[in-house]
Amino acid sequence: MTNHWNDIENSDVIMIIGSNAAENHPISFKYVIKAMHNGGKLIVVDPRFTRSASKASTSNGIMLYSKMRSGTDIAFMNGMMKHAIDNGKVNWNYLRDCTNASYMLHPGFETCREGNLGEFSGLQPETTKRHRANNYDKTTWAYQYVVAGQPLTDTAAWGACNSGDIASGLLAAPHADSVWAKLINQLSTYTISEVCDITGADPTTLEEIYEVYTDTCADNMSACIMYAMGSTQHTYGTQNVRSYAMMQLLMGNTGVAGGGINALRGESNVQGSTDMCLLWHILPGYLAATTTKAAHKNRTQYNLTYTAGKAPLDVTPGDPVSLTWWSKGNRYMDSLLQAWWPLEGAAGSLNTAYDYLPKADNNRAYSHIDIFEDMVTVPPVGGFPEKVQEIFGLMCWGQNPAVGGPSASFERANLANLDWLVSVDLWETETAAFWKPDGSGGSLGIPGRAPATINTTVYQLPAAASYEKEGSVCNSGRWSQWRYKAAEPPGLAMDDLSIMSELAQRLITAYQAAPPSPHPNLRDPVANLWWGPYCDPLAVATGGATPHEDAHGGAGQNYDDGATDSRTGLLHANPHKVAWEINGYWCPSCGVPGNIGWRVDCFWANHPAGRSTLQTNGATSSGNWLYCSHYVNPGDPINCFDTSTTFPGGGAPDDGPLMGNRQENRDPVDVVRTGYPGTQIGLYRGWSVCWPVNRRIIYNGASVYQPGHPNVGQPLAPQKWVVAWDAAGTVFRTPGGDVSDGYKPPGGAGCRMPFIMHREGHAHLFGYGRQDGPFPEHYEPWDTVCTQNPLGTPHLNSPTLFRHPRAQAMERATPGSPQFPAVATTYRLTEHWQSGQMTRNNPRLCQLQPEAFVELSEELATALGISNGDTVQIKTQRTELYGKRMLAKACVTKRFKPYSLVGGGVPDDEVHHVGVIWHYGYSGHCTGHSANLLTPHCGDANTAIPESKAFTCNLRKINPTWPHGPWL
Amino acid sequence: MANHAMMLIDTSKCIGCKACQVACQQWHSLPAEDTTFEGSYTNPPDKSGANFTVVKYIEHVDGNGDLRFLFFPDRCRHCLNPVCKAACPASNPPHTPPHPPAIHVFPWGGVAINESRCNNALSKDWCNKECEMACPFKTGFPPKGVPRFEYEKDGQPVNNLPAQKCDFCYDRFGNADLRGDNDPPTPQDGARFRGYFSTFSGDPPHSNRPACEVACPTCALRVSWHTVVIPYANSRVSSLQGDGFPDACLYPPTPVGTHMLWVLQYRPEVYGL
Repeated sequence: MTNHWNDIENSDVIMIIGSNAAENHPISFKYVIKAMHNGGKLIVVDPRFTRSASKASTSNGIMLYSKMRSGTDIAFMNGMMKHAIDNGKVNWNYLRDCTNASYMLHPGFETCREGNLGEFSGLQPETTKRHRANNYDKTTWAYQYVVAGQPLTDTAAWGACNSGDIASGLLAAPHADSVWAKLINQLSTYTISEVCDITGADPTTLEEIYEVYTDTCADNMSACIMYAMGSTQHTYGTQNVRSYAMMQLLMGNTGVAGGGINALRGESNVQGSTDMCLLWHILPGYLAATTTKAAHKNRTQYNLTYTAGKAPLDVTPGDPVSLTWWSKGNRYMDSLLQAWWPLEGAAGSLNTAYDYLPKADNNRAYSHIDIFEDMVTVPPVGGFPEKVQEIFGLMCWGQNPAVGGPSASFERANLANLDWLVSVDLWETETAAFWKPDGSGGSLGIPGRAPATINTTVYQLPAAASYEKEGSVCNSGRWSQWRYKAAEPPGLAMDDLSIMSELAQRLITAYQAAPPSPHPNLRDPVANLWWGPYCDPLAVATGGATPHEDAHGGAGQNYDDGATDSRTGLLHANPHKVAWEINGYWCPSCGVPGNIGWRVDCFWANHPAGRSTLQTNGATSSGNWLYCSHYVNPGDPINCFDTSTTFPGGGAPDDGPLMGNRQENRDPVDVVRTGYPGTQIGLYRGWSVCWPVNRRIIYNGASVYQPGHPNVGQPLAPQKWVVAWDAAGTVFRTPGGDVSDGYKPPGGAGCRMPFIMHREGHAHLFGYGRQDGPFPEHYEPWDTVCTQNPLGTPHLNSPTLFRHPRAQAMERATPGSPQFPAVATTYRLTEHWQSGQMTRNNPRLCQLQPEAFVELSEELATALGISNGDTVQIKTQRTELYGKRMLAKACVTKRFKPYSLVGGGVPDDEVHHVGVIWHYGYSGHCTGHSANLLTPHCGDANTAIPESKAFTCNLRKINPTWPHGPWL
Repeated sequence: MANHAMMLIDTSKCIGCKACQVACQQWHSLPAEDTTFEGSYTNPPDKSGANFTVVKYIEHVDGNGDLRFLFFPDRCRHCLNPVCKAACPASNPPHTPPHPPAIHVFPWGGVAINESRCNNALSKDWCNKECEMACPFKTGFPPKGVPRFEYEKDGQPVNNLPAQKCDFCYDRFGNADLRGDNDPPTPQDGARFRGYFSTFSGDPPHSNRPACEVACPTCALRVSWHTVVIPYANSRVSSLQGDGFPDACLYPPTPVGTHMLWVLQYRPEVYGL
């Protein structure tokens, strides 16, 4: 989330699209309901009338719920952007001063409406890459420059950047090569009627929603977008979210209270695990994963990609420039290497440490889909050579791919190709039990395969639940908080950290004992890994205790605290030591003896204690720069920017002291200070710690008028200001407000542009970083009922979507095949959670939703002779391929309706839409068929997230006497 | 009328998450009963010996042709003059006094079963489940009143139960002493409740309030004095009537008759009431 949960209550308009927050994030509705109580409006866009939709507002007698065929978000949002631009309902000042709308593009850039229809300029012929059929040559996806480092802008239409107030109204004649003109051109086809043809929405409702939403282009209004997996799990999921972000830029809704794009995370610590590089393409703190490309050849080259590669672009010399936070990436990378292979350790140099990092093949991906594709040998298919099995062992740690993974039959079958499988979980998951007898000769996970023929050794490591271990979690709003242990885990169950610590130490010992390898990088990275913060060796070296020893877990090598778990006889790992290492500390090579062993106070700032700013060359160590300043001691100031020297006239630092990321830091009272009108937006800065630097709303520099405007430094929305400066532009009014992004007053010396992560300091309306296009364009899902793109363009699917040749050849139904005439999507229930282990083992929750079901319209039920509660079978190309259909109870409901779909080549221009609950599997207290039996192994061009939310299916009642029609 | 406790259930704020249903089961240590999916999110289909409160899901097409998905957390209404008590043999002469009544009415208005006195559990000789039959708020088919006596678990009926129904979580109010029926509310009652009751001004629920109220993420359930609840409920109805729900109303329609009060977006008939 750019904002946070309770900030939702500051919204004038809330749009829920691609999520069902009432159902899956019920707590968020505390704030949605509050916002509505204060006059806010709720818009809900969903294929089905959901529990969230039940609360949709009414405007001008029209309920603000729009149905939308699954997978058509981009058409919906592009239509909204076009409506906003056509009607002049955009925030002009914001567009010019905070986005790249006025930038001039390479003259060769073509939108999907120019040149070859349905594609951007630069689409390459099909390659032999395994994962993506096509790629873009992005030469033309670039700015024009006056001189190197200075992009050219369309001053004729927009005026110079930061040159005062733009009167509202339509912009006169933007230059044809400008971002703005290209955006208008790209959107030109998305008229209301075209959007309705694609999405199946009702035009009157659609227009009213567009009107209500675009009202928030006013400076003092804000709207937020709440989205989740309904947006992301598409072959163009990244572009779905892009379209939301662009809409927010048009409205001036990013960086403000009650605004932003808010990804509702599906698990209590998904944000935290992503920050710590759960994903394959990043290192902790979103540093780029090292690859085989030339720019990652060595540490020097890698660091240059940050220091030089992210150097600021200066639109107008003399004007404020971007902080381009990533230009300091070398400090974060060096501190990370120092944490893993410190100079003082056996690696001996950070260059060697860098070489230890595995280098991902730049032509491959390592996503969930790839892991399972690499577990099987695939014979030559579709012109691609044979691909041999590469993965022979798997650790599933709190993961249950047999239920949660796409194309579940395929993934379950591949588990039998493994030599070993380790499941670390609270229960015996479907994944761990895949080999067990199913009672009819086969195994639970692979019905056609006898358990005796499966040679996978399965290890079950019982894990501790969240209340049985200590540590921190980070929620969707980036707020991290310490959790205490409330109970001992049962039996021999251990906390994750102790399991990992034990495993790592045994691996390190084993590697150290191994003979030197001719390939040192096969042995040394593990053998030389420094396991634990080296505070204690330091203490030995300096002949005394390190200053913070009490705070980070006391004596003991590695991560253990010297205590032995009496149940397991194993050493207990101490999460405080890990937290301390993640935060970071000063190392001997910093050259300041008084700093050695002290915590780094902040990743970048002038901290009053003088021990701030992460360093290069091993002077500091930090496991994750974003969390530097999160593990703090009582008495430390709240953040590194709000110091007494920064606030003239403010006296003592406004916020200090903050008591650390522990129980002391749970101040339920919002901060309202004297001397300034306190902000009323519910920042609760004394509650938990928020990255970065306790900034609750990121890009909040965009919430004030920018330099050149008469009200520079003043909030766009005075009634819900986030940060502000006084009329002279000198006094920072953060006291009582949020931590500023730029931390210097706009217009004053050293002022910075609001979008601090970008080289331009301007947000990307034109997003050249994506793989599949700088603007969103509607494509059909990979497995679609359409035979042609309803836009009339030649590309039915996204040309750059992510798929394997095997899946492309076998798992995809022929587009528009009468065998699979209905659109299907998958979703969750309030009553169950993820793959069901936490809830399907709880009898009270099983009682609430005991069985898997499929929701379908009354019209479809009538056509198929299905009654409420009947058992139906659901088939897709995957069930045909792997031989296991899905059975589910029918939920016949008014909340699904047939969809009109004009231009896609479907019979009668109408399709039926169904939705399947995905929580169920064969293990647990209540069981059922998994919806992922139906979903395909293909994913998004940028992230490879599987397309679980839109595919084609067929269903019928299980009743031998029923006359078989075309739906068989 | 002295100050009585009253719970407001604002269905316009309810998101149908069933948190109240689970919290109630958990606080009362009730088991999970057997259920199957029968085509509705309502599960179990009605109140039972194991579920004192059940969220009912209603799909309704209103006069504008707009589809609505309505949620109705169904439970005992806690009548001012409980008909169940009047009908209960174990709550009336000749069995009381000297024994305390099986259906106890707290001075602050809550109605609870004194399980040790309920004759369905002790001896069925002179109990014909009069409370269930007398209850005017019947649901299901065949229609049944609020108190329930059975449920099914692991395929076996469990039916040797005292009457089971919502007890207003009297034991969370710090008011567990079952006092005489006719004792007037004391100043101590007021002092005891004041900190626990909502002022409807955004204060978070105190953990001593009913389990369902504490669990409700949207504060759709709120307990306070009836003198606070009724005007607030009326203001919610007016607000809804001006906001696209002309049929919004209170249920039961005479708010002083019960201690459980619902704000509905449509007429009670739409909810099957």
